Formats: sequence, C-alpha cells, structure tokens
Amino acid sequence: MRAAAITIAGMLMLVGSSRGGGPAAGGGAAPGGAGIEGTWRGAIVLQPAEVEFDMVLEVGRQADGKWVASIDLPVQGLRHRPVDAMVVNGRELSFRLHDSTGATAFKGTLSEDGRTIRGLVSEQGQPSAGFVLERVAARPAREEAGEDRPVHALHPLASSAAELAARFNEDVDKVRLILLLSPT
Amino acid sequence: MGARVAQRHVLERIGDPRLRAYVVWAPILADDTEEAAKLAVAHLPDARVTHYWTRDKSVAEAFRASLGLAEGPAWDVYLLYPPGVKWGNGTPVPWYYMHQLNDRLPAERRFNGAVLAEKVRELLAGKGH
Repeated sequence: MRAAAITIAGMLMLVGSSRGGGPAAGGGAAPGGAGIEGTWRGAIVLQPAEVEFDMVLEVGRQADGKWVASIDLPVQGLRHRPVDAMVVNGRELSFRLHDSTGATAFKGTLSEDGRTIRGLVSEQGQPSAGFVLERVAARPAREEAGEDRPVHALHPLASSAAELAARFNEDVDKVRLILLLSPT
Repeated sequence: MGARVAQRHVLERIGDPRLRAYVVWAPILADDTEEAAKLAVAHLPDARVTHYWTRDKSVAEAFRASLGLAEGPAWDVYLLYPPGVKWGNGTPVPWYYMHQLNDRLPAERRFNGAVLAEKVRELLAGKGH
C-alpha cells in the first residue's frame, strides 16, 4: 500500500480515481436509541453507490468513563488506528484523525433505533464527504486475528474463457452478473 | 473500489439465492498480478460469487464486442444477464451493463451500485425474460 495523507484526496489518489462529489447528507433522529459503544462497519461516501471507501469504527469506554475508538480505513492501510478527541454527547459523536498534514474530523449522529450512524467528514473545517456506519455484532474471528485473507478460491481462467462459459451455462436458470475488473 | 460498492449495494442487500456473480480479475494495470487478484477476492466474499484470474487481456478483449466498444479491453464493467441466456460461440450480450470507463461508453451507464441493484431486482422479479 502506497503512503498517502489521511484525506479524501489521498484516498482517491490511492484508488487512482479522479472522481469527486458533494458530501452525503448527515442524519439525526429523536432521542431514545441504543448506545454508541460497539463495532460499526460502513463507508466514507463521496458519491453514494459510486465512490465509497470501507470504514470500520470500534467504540468503547474505559473504566474511568472516557470514550475511546479505533478506526480501520483499508484504502489507507489503517487498521485499529486510535482516534483523537473522541466525544460522545447523547446520540452525537465526534472524533479526529491526525496525520502529518493535519486533522480529518468526523461528526455523526446515531439513529433513533441505534443501528446506524450517519455523519460528515471534514477537512480544514469544510465538509468533504459523508459517512454511514451500521452496527455489526462483532468482527469475524479470522478478521480479529488479522487474517484478512480471502476465504474464496481464485480459479484459473483460460484465454478462451471456457471455464466461465461453462459455469455461466450451468447457471442458466439464474440471474447472472459478470464483473471484469482490475485487482488493483 | 467498484468491487466493494457492488458487494455492499448488490450482494449484501440482495440475498436471493437465484443470483450468481462471476468476477474475472484481469491484468489490465501495471500492478495487476495473480497475487493482487488473490487479495482482491476478499472484496467480494459472497458465497454466490466465483472468482477467476486470467493471465492476459484476451477475455476482456472478447467482451468488447458484447458492449459495442470500438477498441481496447472491456474492464471495470458490470454485465447483467437474465435467466435463459446462454453463452454460445461469442461472449453473450448483456441485458444491462454499467461501467467505469469514462468516455468509452455512455455516461448514463456509469457504474452506480444502487442502480445496478435495482436492475438485478427487476430480473429477479421476472422482468427481462
């Protein structure tokens, strides 16, 4: 993974994309939801359903009551990176992520049903993207152990694509998607 | 990135067992190796997905005709087929497709995971076949 500043522009550089867009909307709801502690999985959203970057946030509370959290941003190569200035006030939360170029600020709101956090990512005080996270029970054990290796096989495909054609025709009663992608 | 969006918006949100996906990881860019493809498999961990690695651009170039591309390999493309379509002598023409190829294909077909998911739902509901 190439090094890059922890910024939205840095993320775009890492994925080789020149696309950008306005921030997704932040959200709010009436009080009464579940707590913010736990594991949250979702994405930083530059353009909904088009330009999104995986994000995992783990939020906990120390014995002295202080809120702490760590963040994963795979596109940046970050895993269990502690965040700074974690503040929780009711259903509102905010924290910062510092690097040599400055700070990226996250500010979000827990939904009333306690299942979603939506918010905004700001750089230099200006909103630059949205983020949305959904509560997950826990990380899978293999992921917690740092084993992010894929669980699926990678099958060799001849230049004729014969193996794919055969599988495609075997599944003729199914709705099928073919994705032709670069792995980097 | 498109793979993760497809996983999040299509495969995670449509649990229908009548859906299948085949991902062809191809050496398009300089760093595209089989090792990179083995890592990329993790982006689409759904059990309904089959992952392939091809050593050259032949497959991507073969799909050029299916998309009406004038030149170059077809990559960063998402092709959707209803039940009943068979792969015959040539690569099958998709019922619907989306892409991330900038101006090589129509802008209105630029990849959007939510739109692609809606098209998948249409086919699962019996439209298109």
